[in-house]
Amino acid sequence: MIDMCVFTVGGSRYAIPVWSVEEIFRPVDITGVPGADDRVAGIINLRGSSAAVIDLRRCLATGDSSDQVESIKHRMILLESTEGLIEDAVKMGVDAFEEPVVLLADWVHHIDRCDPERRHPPPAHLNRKFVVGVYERDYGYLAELDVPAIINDILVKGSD
Amino acid sequence: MSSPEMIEEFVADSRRSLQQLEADLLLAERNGADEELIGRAFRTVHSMKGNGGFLGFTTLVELAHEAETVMDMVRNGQLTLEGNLMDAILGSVDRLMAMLDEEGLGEGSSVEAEVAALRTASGEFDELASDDLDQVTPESDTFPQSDAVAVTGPGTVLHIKAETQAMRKAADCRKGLVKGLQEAGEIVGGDVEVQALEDANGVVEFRLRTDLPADMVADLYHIDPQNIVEVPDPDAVQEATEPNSDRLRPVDATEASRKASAEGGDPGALTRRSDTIKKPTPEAAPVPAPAPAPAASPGTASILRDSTPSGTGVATKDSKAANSPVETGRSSGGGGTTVRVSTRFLDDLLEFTGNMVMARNQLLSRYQFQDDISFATLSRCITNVHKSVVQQRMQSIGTLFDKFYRIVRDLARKLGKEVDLFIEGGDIELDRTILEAFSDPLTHMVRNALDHAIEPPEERTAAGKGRVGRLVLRAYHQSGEVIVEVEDDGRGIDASKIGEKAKARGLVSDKELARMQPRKVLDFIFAPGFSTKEAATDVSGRGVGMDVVRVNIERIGGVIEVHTNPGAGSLFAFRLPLTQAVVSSSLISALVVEVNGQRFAIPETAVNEIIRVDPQDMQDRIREMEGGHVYQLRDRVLSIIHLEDALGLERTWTDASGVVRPDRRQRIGDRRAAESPEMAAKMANRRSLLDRRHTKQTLVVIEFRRSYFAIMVDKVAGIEEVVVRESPKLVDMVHTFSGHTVLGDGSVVMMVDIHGIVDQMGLEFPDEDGQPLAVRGALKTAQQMIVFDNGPNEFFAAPLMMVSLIEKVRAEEIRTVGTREYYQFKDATIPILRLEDHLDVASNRDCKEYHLLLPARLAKPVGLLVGMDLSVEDFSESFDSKVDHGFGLIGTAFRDDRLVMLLDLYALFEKIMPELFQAVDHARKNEFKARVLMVEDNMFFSKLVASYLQQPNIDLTITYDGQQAWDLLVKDGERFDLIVSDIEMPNMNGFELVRNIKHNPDLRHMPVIALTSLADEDSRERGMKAGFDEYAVKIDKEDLLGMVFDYLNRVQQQTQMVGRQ
Repeated sequence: MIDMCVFTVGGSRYAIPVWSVEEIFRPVDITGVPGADDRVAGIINLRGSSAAVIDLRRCLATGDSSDQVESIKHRMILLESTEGLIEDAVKMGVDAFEEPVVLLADWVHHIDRCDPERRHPPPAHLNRKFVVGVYERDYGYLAELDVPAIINDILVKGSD
Repeated sequence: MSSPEMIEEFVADSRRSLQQLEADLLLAERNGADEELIGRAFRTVHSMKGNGGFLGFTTLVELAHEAETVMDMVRNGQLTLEGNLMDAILGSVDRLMAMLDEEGLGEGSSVEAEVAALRTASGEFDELASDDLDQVTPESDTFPQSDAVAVTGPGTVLHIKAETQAMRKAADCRKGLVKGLQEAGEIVGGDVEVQALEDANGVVEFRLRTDLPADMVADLYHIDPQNIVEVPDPDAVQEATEPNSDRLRPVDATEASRKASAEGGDPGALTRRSDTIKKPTPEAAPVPAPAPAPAASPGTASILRDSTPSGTGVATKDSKAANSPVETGRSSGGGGTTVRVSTRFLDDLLEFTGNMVMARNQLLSRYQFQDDISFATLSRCITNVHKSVVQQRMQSIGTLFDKFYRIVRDLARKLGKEVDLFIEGGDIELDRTILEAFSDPLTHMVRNALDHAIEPPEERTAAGKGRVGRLVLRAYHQSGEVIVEVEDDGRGIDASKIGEKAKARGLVSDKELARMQPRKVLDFIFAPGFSTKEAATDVSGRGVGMDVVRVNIERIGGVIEVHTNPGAGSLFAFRLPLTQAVVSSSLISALVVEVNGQRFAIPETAVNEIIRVDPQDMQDRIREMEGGHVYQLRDRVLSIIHLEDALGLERTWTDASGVVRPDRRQRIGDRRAAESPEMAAKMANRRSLLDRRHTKQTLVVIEFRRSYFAIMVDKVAGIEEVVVRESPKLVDMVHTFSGHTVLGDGSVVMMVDIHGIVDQMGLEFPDEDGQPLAVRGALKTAQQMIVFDNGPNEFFAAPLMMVSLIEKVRAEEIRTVGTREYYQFKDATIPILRLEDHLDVASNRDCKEYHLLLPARLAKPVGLLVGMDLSVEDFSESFDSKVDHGFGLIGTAFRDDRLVMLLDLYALFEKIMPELFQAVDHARKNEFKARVLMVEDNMFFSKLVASYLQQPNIDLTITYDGQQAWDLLVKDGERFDLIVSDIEMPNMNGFELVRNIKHNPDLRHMPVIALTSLADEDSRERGMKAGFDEYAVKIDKEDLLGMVFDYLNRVQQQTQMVGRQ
């Protein structure tokens, strides 16, 4: 079983392993970086270091974008960097990026315990590039995001 | 066996001293060997032999011994350091160095080749050598420990105030106070004689040279740590040069040594350290200081024993006592106090302290801490900590440059060429990682220069050049960049040859080539696999490299430029933005600007000035030109770029209510966007006022590679000291930013990268390159002159920096009082001078309008009334001053078919209004004839300053660069009462000159005044640090004369005093 952090982006529910989450907090001011990838909202100051913020809405062009969640509910999810990842997480194949990265989500709900054995492959209409699988929960389907793939995609696009 | 730690330490020490040895040898070959240097070189190999023997590395010892023998002969004057002998010695140094890296330190490998080379090179003195050998060998075999001791330099000197009773109770002092203290080091003086100390009672003061930390000394001898103060080592210098000055050494030294030698190798004997180290070895550096760290308590002796070749067993019962001293002691071993830490640790430390600085700045902006002393203290500490940490990451480029003395020497010999290497600006500091990145490209360029560029001596002579080629490695700062240059005076690069080759390789077609500028053609040398050399040598010529050089330089954010002049030489310049060259997380000054509602930071080093354009003037001053906009700033026409355009943002303007709106104007001069006439009419009343107030109107003038352009921003928010952070990788690919920073208010702003902006906007600047080097050299010292007319067709010029203000004046504004004329400027009534009243020139009395020039730096304002035809032009030094043009005129020059007379404004004003120049009277009091040396490469200034200093009581000598001056002092043995030197000069700059002078015991008494245009505080501080006695800013005549006569009067007084005695 693996604990998943469940959040909403554009009306759909997504999840990432809790192991890859360091902290969840209310949004702080983001400084835009003109010229950077559209999906990067900018950078923030995080207690003495800086982190890039990925706006998940702009990554996952799914769901209903008219469903504007009040920004007061927005949350920032600070991901663990490679160093912070615990051993168990590495064993389970959880991956991380070398620098702190923040995800901007519409709302973070709860932690849900899922069985990796029962993960379905993503249905065809989903963004297969960034969704590794789908869990069936009593409240609906939950898509597991492949954050390292998103990061990688941004980096690759930037180096073109 | 010896412990791995000891071996490691031996390797580290040996590596350091071998590096020093190599540098010393090369220096000796260039400048002739002095005793001190040879002595040091000798001691290096000597102690390496001793220590190596101690640790049991016989192969290493064999070679070190051989080198020692040769060095000894050099020291005794039997051999001269040159040619083959030098090759042989350097060869053995290389081998020794290599052995240090080998497994088992090269034990058992062959050193025959090196030994043979040394023997052959010193061959003629074979007999003497073998004599010498006899003397040396037994010694090195007999006293392994005593030799081992030589590795440590003098430790630190502690001034100790202590209570004798308490000390006597210490475990170490049971056999006597002095003896006990000598366990820790050497008593080097103080209030009491050594023997008196033994008998003293109560509180005594003395000094102890030791490499134990003070707190440990306190602990061992029951001394209050507060009574131990570290003091500078008074003997450090003499000790190095006078091996036999063993003042205060224990009387029983010889006896002790005999004992030590008898005991040496006896595993049972606890060889007390104070005994072993006191054995005076005839050549070794005196070793007042204790041996490698383990030493403080009796227990540590067992470590020594453990490490002797025949040592048995590991110390057990004393190990606890020994452990900690070894750890701490090691860090302070070897004379200096150095601790090795990982770079990762330093990087972390740097980041943390950078964050501290930022947090402090945020606190400062949020609360009123001004009166809080503890906060002020904290703040200062943070600044200091940050500064020191940054300093740890910085390294002077000289450490890299110095490496090349050897490379150049070896290559030149190998290639049969004669080359002198000159190094300039070795004190420029760069981030260590950047410095490392420069290493390979520089090596490549230097090799290329020697192999391809610099011709063999015969060819040079035939071409009318000096036999000896010249290679210069140079580093300097310029408009926010660090520039590293490799310059040679060799063949230069023939663009047509490069073109042919490129064509042959199919890189370019005939047609394309014909259209290409020579500069672009030169770029082919950076194409992969490109080489014009017919045959590849093992030095260079395989065409692998230049492309790699370029890639390496670009990787660290730099660019590479080529300037060449066929037949005369080439110059390769690596340019690196300062923001890249200094440590990330170091503090820089940034201009914070705002566009599109967002703030951005621009490194202040790149900012030349900030101009607020009056909206009323907008349309006049900002013009359209080929689709872009330009601004006329004095004599320059600057391109204007919008920061938004460069960053890919929408252009906006802020309306009265502070709302940011899109900017739809087509021309920035326009106050509003083009729109339908009805709409315009409707809005006209409401808009005009608003628009005028909120049109963007701030231009930030950027200096970029000696050219300028302007960035238009909405507003300038201020200047802040910031710590630059690297961008997160996810945004790092944006080249218009070099990083980001956190401002005092806690907000994050992006740091604009000027290079990136220039690239992004495709800005191109006039090439000063492509011009022959000679002209380029002159350009460096070219003067901006203000050229003006007076009477019809009579033109005059004066240096722009002598003029502080130019004012347009109408004839009716000039008031006349008697014969004198005045002009009212703001609050001041300025007397007016006309050239025709004082010089034999035509009059311009009946003009309607004039220009009034106000000279800079006069005690009282005076205006010079000149004609309306006024311009600023760059003058190289091509003016003729051979003819005496009369008073106030320095020379003449032809500019665009006009004869331009160069004015000496100061001379002019001085004659007319002598009261402005009190310093001159001052001068005349000085009676004795003083010899003054002026060092100044700029012909104009040397003439100007010479005219100031040409006083009856001054005998003035002029040289045109530091090297000439140095030769005059050293080779010709000339002496002066005062030296006045420029700083920026070719060959040897002022900093180097003054450093050389102040390091030379025969010369250091001569006062040296810096005379420079570098007026900023940093340069002044650097100047004072380098050893200048005074620092004067160019053209400040009074200031300069004041200083000169001040010094000369002092010299005179001293001479008189000496005379009286």
